[in-house]
Amino acid sequence: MNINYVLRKLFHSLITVLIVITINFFLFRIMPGDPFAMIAKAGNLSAEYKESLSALYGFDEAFHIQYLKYLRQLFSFDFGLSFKYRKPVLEVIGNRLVATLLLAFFAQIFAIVAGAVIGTISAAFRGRKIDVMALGFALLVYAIPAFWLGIVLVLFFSVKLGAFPLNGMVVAGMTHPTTWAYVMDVGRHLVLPVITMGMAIMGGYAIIMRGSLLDVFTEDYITTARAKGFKRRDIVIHHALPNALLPMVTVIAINMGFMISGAIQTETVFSWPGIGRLVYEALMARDYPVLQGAFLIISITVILANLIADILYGYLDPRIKYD
Amino acid sequence: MKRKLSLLLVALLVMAFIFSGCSSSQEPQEEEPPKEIVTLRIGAKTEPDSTSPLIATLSAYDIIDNLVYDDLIEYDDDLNPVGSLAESWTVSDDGLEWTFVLKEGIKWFDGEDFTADDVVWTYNALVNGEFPQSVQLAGVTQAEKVDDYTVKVVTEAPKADMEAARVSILPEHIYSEYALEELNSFAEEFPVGTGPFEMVEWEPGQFIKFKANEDYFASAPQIDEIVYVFFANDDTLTQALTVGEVDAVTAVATTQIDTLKADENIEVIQALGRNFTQLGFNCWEAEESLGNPLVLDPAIRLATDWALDKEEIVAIALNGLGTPGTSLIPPSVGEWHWEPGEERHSYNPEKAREILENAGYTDTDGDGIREDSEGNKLDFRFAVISSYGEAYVKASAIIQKNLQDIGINTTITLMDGGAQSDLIYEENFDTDMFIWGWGTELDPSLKLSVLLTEQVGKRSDAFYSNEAYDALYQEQLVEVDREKRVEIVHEMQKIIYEEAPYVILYNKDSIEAYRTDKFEGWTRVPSEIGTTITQVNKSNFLSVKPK
Amino acid sequence: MTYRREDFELHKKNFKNFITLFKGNPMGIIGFYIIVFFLVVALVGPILYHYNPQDFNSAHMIEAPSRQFVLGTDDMGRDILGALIYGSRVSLMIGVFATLISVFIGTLVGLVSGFIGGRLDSVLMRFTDGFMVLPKLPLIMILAALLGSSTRNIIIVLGLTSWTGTARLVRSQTLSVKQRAFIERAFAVGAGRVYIMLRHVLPNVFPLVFSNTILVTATAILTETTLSFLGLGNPMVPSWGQILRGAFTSGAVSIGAWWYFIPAGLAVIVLVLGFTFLGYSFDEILNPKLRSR
Repeated sequence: MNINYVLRKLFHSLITVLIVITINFFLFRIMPGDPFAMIAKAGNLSAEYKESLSALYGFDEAFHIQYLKYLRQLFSFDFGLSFKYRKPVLEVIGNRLVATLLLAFFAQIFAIVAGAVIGTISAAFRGRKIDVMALGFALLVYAIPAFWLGIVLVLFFSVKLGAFPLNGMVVAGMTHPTTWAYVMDVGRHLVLPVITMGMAIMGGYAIIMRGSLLDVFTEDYITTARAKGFKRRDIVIHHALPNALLPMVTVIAINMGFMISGAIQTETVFSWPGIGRLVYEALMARDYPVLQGAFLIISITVILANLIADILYGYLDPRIKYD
Repeated sequence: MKRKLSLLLVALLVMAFIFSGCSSSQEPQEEEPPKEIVTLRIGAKTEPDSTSPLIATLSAYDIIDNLVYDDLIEYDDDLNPVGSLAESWTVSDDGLEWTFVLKEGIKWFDGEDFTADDVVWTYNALVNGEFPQSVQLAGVTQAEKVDDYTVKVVTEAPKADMEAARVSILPEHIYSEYALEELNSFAEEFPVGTGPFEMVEWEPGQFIKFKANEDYFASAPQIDEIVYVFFANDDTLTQALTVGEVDAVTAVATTQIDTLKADENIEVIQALGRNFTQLGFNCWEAEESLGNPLVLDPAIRLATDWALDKEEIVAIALNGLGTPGTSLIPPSVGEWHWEPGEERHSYNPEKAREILENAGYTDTDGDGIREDSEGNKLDFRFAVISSYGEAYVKASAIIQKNLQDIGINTTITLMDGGAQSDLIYEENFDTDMFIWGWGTELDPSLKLSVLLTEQVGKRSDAFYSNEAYDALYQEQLVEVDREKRVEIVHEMQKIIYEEAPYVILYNKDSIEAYRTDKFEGWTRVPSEIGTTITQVNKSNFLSVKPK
Repeated sequence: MTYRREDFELHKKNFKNFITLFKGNPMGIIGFYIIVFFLVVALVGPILYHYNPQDFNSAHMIEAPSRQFVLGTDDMGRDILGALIYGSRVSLMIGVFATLISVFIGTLVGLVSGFIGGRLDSVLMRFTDGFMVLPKLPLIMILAALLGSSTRNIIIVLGLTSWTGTARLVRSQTLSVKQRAFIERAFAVGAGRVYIMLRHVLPNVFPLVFSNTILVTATAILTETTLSFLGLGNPMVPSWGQILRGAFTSGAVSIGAWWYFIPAGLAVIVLVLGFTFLGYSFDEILNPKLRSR
């Protein structure tokens, strides 16, 4: 593994992080709404009270000082105080993180498996009816708004059939006798949101999978294998598939940003207590520090994921040149 | 190649392990064996914003406040003031000194005694600092400790609404360690109060759990736990009640009321709401006002009132769950409300046109919009908040149509609450009309004060000014004779009704619902006509019990 | 340099070639017809079918389909079929105009970056990368809240936030076109950079941009719907997203008022699918690498 390649990628990521931080800072300085009125949620503030709030939130300084201060705070993982909850932003976000990770993890698994299967079938039968159907299905899934799918699933499985809970992560406030009961409870609540969010990202995976498989099919060693008389099934599964999975690694990383979109919609429909709903609620309540913090953390996660994907990709695919 | 892939797989599995580790770390501790714990689950839409009454401003905070804290005086089920932490109270002849005798033997959740120190600290903190509840003590200069169970409260002028002051008494032994400005951000994780329920768990975005305080001084609750569960929207909230995931809800999806009413296990409570929503006008007469000077003419505002089909607005924007509005103080607060008998401005576009015509506004160029004598068009900018739910937006669409009907054009701009505040307070009131609303208290003073001249640029959002109105306000503030005070309050509302800085669109009903198959003893406050879950006192939570 | 006859013939041949390939692509054909259908509805529908968004009627709120209201009514008593027909106009308009803005910015950045190269290229690409990783939906939500939710602002916001993919694509295509002999020749004859960029590079990059444009439109329409659903659209304008929001907020879902959200949802899906089909098939035809397989 070439250290220069890694270092260069790292450097690029760092610059990107800086750009994101800067955009983030300025974006939130120009938001509407008097921050004092937001914090105090009332109009009649005395000058002294305003001053004390100013000091508390650091509004009393010049723009560039605020920016430098902001940078320094970030380095000490200080994301400020939530307007709404009057608690450190990191704590507010941390409270919601696990729920989203749980949802996102299973949605990803669902999407990757389903996407890979559909993509593989499609590629293996390229040009035939089954290909068109599989591809059509992948594109169809892509075209369905996630929130709409969520609503339809709720209507059918929860309201009509009563098969799954309507929303939330557990039956609220229930004391679970055993850990197992707790896990089962979460599991039951997880099904519909996972399907909703998984479907939202699955279509893209299927299409990428198909494309990268078709790419691999043109490689020499596949032609060789074919000439040697291997069965098509074997060629697809043993020769083509492992190599075709590579581009998926990158796509999954790039998709992190897209997942947030799915998370906001899914969590809104299902009242799932995660980051997505927090972003939505923070926007509705104009809780800028929380929005800003969430926005930054999400962006940095995406950058990190991209970096890891780049490095992993370089590691896994010997064809990449480390120049 | 294969080996590398399997490495990747292992990495994934490790990640999975970490994730599952995260989630299991969240699992609740197994505190006690699950013997029959009676839990009342209540579904609500908004979560409190804090556990501290010195921070919270959302009305959702009342969930905590009502269960955890007590005031000196509370309302009984017929809205008469009765002692809560106070055993009795007297007021001096000049009306400037109130003496409260406190109940003895009350303990805070942590075992400390409740004494006069707690009351004195709380009152003085609110008077000396600026906190959301401070406004309740307007006119109070200080509180003094007389002995351990007697407190004297001094006011600068007679305070007619002293008995109506809603002040949650806080534990001095915890709060006094902090400076006043620190209290802007200090909140106990689980507040120590004296109330019937103690908060024991808060899973943000999900639920808050309360445990019964067996030693509550009024009477022990008859259930073990209350859990408030938070839902993202009315719809899922209502569904949760239907399937029995919660036992009661504090809001109902309006489209589902009929379905709920048909369910024999569900009782729907529809009560007059203590609130109003107004069409407000920019009444700022100052030079720097950026409003259209035409709306300064009361005739135009009055014509608007006649032109609005408020019945239709209530029917559509509120799904019929409200009352078309008239005067400033809503009917739900009883005798303070003034009802305009014969002078009532009911929907009458003809009359509205007549008023405009008589005031000299006619459409001379035939474009359907009236002009004044100098050719200035009755064309107004209309700011509408779209972040407070659908009702404002729906109402504004109907208002636009109604005004179009009488030759007034409006341009609606949708914005969020923050942007509208900016427009009014920061940008020299750069709009002509707006929709906004207020919740009202049982005592009328606070809402009447909104339209005072001294509140221009502060709590007033119409920047209205009327000397006669201001004078009447001061008069009622110190009028301790209730009947006379009622009269003055009515007089004030009449002024507003005729001058129309606010056109009151509607008073929205409070809708609640509960299941009758598991619990009984639900109480409405005020009796018969009031709400059950969101109450001015604690009656329901002391009376509700398992079936 | 003048436009030579050979050039024209070449383009003409390419175009004919393209049409032949396109006709053999069932997905593309379906997509094409879907879009034509919605274009016709959007252009002609409002003329043939009377609908006034101010026809509020408290007597007909959320009513099931009937003779009077073929697809039932919404929560303000208005005809849903009419709203759907009007909504097609709004959705298409937002999709197309947002895409124009996005493609303009993306092409400009990609072209300049790829063609000029050097430091400017790395600065532009760093910025593009930085922009690319910003979480899209939250960013769009914040900007929509910031600017206020008029239809014009939604178009601007969508346009400003979706150009990065196009920029990357155009840049890589420009880089490969730049290597070709005729560019060198043009430089040799002394043609200016801007001239070459517009006259030689752009036409060669254009086909890919075009198929990309169609896919961006699909995303824009989808995002607009989501934005409206989340309450950040313009509720005064009857778009499909607004219908869906109405259905969700009024509780139509739980009383099973399918007419309120199924047709609008299907309309979004089918139109987005149409654009995706078309874009995808263009991609297959125009991308020589894909075609050769």
